[in-house]
Amino acid sequence: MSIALSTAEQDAFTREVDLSDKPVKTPRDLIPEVYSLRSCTEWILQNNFKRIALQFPDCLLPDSVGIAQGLEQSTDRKIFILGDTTYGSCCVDEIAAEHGSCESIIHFGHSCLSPTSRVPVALVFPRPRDFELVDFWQKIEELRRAEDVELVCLYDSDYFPVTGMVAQFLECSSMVVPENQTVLTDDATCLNFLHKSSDEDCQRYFVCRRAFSPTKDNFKRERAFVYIGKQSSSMVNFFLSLPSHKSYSYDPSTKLLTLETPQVNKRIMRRCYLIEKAKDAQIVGILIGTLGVKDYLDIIERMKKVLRTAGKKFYTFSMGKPNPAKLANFMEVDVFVYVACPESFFDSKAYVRPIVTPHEMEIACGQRAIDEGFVADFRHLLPGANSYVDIRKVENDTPDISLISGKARYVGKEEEKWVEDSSTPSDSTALVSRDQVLTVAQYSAADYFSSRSWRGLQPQYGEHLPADIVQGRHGIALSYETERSDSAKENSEVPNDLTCCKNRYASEHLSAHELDSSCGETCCHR
Amino acid sequence: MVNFTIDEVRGMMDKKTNIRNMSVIAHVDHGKSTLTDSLVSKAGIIAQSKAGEMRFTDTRKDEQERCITIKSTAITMYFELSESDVQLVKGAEQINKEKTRGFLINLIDSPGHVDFSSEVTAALRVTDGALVVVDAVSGVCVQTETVLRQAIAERIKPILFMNKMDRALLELQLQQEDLYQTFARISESINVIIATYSDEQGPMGDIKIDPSKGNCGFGSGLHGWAFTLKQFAEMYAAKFGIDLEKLMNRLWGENFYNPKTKKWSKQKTSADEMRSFNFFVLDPLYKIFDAVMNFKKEETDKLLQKLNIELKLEDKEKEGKHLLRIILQKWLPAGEVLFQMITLHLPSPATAQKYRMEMLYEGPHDDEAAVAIKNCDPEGPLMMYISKMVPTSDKGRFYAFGRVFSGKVQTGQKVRIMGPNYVPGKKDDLYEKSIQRTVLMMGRNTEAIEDVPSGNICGLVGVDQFLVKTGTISTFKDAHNLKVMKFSVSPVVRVAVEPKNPADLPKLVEGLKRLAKSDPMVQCIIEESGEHIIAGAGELHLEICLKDLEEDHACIPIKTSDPVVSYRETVSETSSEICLSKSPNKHNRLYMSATPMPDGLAEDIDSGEISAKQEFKARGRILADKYGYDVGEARKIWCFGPDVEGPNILMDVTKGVQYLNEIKDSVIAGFQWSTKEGVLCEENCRGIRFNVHDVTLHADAIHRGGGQIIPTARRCFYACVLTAAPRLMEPVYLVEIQCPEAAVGGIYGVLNRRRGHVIEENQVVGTPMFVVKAYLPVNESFGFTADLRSNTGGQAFPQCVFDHWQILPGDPLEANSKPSQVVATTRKRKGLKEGIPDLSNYLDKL
Repeated sequence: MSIALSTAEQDAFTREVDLSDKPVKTPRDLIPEVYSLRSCTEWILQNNFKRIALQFPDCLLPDSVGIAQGLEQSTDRKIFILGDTTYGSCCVDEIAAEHGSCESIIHFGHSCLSPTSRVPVALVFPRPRDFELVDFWQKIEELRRAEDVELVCLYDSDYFPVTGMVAQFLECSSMVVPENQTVLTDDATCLNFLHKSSDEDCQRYFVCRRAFSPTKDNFKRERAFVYIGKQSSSMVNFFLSLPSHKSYSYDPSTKLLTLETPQVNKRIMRRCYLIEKAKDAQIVGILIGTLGVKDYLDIIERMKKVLRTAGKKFYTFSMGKPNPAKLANFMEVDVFVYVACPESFFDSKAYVRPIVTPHEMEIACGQRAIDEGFVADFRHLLPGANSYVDIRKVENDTPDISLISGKARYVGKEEEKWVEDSSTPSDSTALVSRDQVLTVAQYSAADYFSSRSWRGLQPQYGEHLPADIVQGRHGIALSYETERSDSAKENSEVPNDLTCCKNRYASEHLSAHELDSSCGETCCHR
Repeated sequence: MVNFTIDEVRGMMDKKTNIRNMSVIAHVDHGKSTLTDSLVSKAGIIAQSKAGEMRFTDTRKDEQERCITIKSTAITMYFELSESDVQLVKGAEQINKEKTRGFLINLIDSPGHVDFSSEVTAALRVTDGALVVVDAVSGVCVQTETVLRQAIAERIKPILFMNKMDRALLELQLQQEDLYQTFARISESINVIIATYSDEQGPMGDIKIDPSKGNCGFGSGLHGWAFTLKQFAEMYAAKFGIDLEKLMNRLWGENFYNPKTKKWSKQKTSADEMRSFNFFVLDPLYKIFDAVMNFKKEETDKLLQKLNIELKLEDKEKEGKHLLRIILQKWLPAGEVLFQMITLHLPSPATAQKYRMEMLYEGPHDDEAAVAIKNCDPEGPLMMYISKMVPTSDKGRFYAFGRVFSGKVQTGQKVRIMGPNYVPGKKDDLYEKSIQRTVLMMGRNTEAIEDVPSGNICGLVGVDQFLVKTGTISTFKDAHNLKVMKFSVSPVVRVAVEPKNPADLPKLVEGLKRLAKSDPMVQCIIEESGEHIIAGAGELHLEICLKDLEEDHACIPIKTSDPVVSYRETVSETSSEICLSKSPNKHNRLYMSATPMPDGLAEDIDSGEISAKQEFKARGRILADKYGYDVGEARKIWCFGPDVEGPNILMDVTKGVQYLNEIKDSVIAGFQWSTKEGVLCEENCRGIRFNVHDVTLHADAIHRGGGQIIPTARRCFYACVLTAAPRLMEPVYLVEIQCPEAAVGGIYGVLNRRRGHVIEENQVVGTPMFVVKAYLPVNESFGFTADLRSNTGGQAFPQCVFDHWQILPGDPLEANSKPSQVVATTRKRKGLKEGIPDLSNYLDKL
């Protein structure tokens, strides 16, 4: 019975972990160089931080101990390692750092460059191993010969350290630097490049949190973009944001330069479907996928407002690392809107209900036109940003047909759709509601439950005596306090040479199935 | 000049016994619109000289250009019957007590091409009678049968008109007896169809066609002349002193007359005895034809005198066909004959609604609405069925066109608008709005009218936004819906459209929505891949839809993909093993299998004979009796899918499993999902029965929630399909081709090249024409018409109508087989991963 109830704890240590990127192990002596430890030390000492958190994606965890030890030696400050970020590892996990009362975070590896609000953050990009400048340069020259365009070089944040080199070779091409971020690097060329680009005071463009300034004489020429990096959501976001430009991608691991057309990208087509689906939705789940990205609370508030004006009912969910099994627990929700950094957006057919971005939801709610282009970053939708629009009252009389179900559909406040109670006799003296416009009960989660065939056990009122109140389980699902005795022993065995705020291997897999199976971490409210 | 006023019409609307709602139905090119012109000209709406050429009810430009009706068009007309004929109207409900001579005719002219059969269905729903037009030369064709069958199923009473008699006489030069035989054969085949689909003891009574009763007309729509036996009987009745009805009986069938002895007989015994129809009816006609066409001026004049026809001066100069036309129009005016046939033989709303109510109303047959419909009560609650949307001059807006079955609909009235998904007591698909205007549909024009009482057909302004295609309008709070129409064709041909300029996308989407409204059947959908798809009945239908979309609805240049057909996924064997899938937390196991349904079951589910709404015991009984299912199992059908009514079933064959009820909803959700998007290429599934054999579930409810079960059920269904020899099904057309004998060889060649096979080949008796019937995969039908024409020198005309689904031979799992290519292209189009996912993705080991 105990086996049927829960998995043996030992499983957590033996279970294979799915990693999208292969873990790397850098030789100890190369670590300071690869991870720019000198700059990190300087940054820490300059700002006089006492407690510093180091955040790693899964694939860099093998190096984490070496880095932490190196920094501890050079700065003599308290260093923490953050593994297993709550949401995407590209986002800075401020909450986890606050658990250790850290004053600053150094984020290593791939980053979505989303700004944060609470703690000072520095980004470190390890030097990529597979980039070959010669090859890249040859490919670019070929392209240049073929087409007379101004080339703008974009890159996956992983490839930041090579930008200095690239910039030297591509003199006439514009380069792109992260917007308003502290980037630490030991590489002199890179540093130069950073300074140079921020000094220039010509016009600057911002795309996906990267700024670029076109060189003056090339100002009027047609522009084409070259993206250095693997096929990833960050690349898709780039190209979706720049639909009218020619875009090339260069993958350093395969050394291929390919032309990416929006037609190739099925995502832009699929958006039409997703938006239509969102228009059909009566109940929307606002899925919180970040607690770190600046202004995430504002966008949630805005989403609520937008949904309210569109007459859709909504529930807010906060769950770490959404997966199909978790989301399928909420069948009453017709569509989820995912509030997270642009790179952690996911869209897979494995999910029962589709997931859309806040921008798509605003389109679906009639706040924007469908052809407005693609906005990956929700911060652009907020007041002050360039894609901001005032929330307006949706015109109520809009007739509409769903192109998915082929049924009539109503965009706009449900109050408009009303039914007069004709049973009230008009000439009687009874009280009559002056307000003839009665609200039709909105479709809500309760309606879903009432349509289910299984509604729980029959209550059998009055057939049983009320039972005595007994103390139930308490604590958290990971280990209830009644189970404390076993797990305390377990914790003491965890190696203690480094303080781990949240050790992935110890904690996550113990609770894996509990998290998966449902509401452990989810909360919902109107 | 129109010889009636709107006020007159409005006055007539209250006399429900003096109304006839009728549609004109037939095979394509049998002359419906042309014939309709005779009535329209009788009403004074168009000049008599133009009748037959104008095709007044073909209101669209392309309809006029292509000479084909695309949309059904309604027109309201007012006529007066002569005193003597009023006496012939039988039945208390057929004419009011005062014996008012005026009659109101609401006529709907429908298209004949199969691709537009949905328009016919929409027309039939709002009418009570149908004028079936048959080309006397080509006889009863496939579409004649289809529409007639539909009419009978809707309880629409048919009358027959044999058209194009002029061609039979002038072109084919048929002898009198041959012509009689042709007529007899046509009425015989019509009666065979009627007998097949109706019941003599049924509520409509005997609806057989019998020329001697006068419910069968003969004539030429193009030349504007027509007659029934009544016309001739009237001429001779006085002469012979025989009762009109008796004489009519004698003028048809095996009745012979000997002009020498002036004796009647039942059998032809001597050469002097002539078939009465030939002698009394055809002979005079043939004489006129002969005299006029052979320019025998004197004889013509003599005949004219005999028939009391006075020609105008300018007409006298005419010769040949023109003269013939004028003489016959004067002698046997088609409008008058049709009008008499309609008033005498078609039911009034008061008559028809008595027996149509039970076919129309979904609710209990004794509630207020049902009773009011039955009595066609203008004082009862309003019940109106909207059968189609007619575009207005205002872009994007439509008249909601329909029939008032009870109560009165009026301008400014507040009504409940109930869409097809409305369920009484629920709020889905229900709106309450006021009607802005009620209008009378007059062909290309409309006339505003204050209110419209029960039994009439009209258009509404201001409710179109709340309905997609059809719906019910009522003032009765507890009203149920009027039944949704069932179409005889399905949208199996699809094209993807995109704007030439990507910035026009919003206009395209708006246009698609308008298109979806304006056509009763077209489907406009966005696929999961984001493609905008238009699905229609056939190539012609799509062509018209695309043209409308580009020119009227979206008004932007559009790129169109090649047409593609939708496939279905099915299985051909029982799963090789009972498939097990484990939930993500590994604590729940589902054991299921798939097996093909017996032949015919999927079709029965399509037709609604077996449906989710049935009582489970009754359904179990049918399944056991007809398909040999175990009764116990057959009662435990969890659901149908996809979309709760599709042709796949999920059956519970478990024995005593704990918590099973608790996961039922989750398994059903997985079933709907996986039958809608099959494992091969995410097409719908068809004809699969899934069995739930066993489940083991976690004892703790939180670990067997929807999140664990739904994805697992889906995986398990996929595993079941993959282990049960999956197959693809493709849609197949039934093609009917008419051609002369010489062209038959060419047809075989074209069909063979396109994987078609002939199932029937017949000569149309009495003509040199052949009719070839064949099955042709829809996928091979693109360009078929053009191909056929070029291979037969333009002599063969095919009509394709969707018939059934057929397994595409070959194993889709085997590389390079035909189905695997289809799967690959479909997956590519939808942007799915290449190749069918491996079984190991779905099947788990214990």
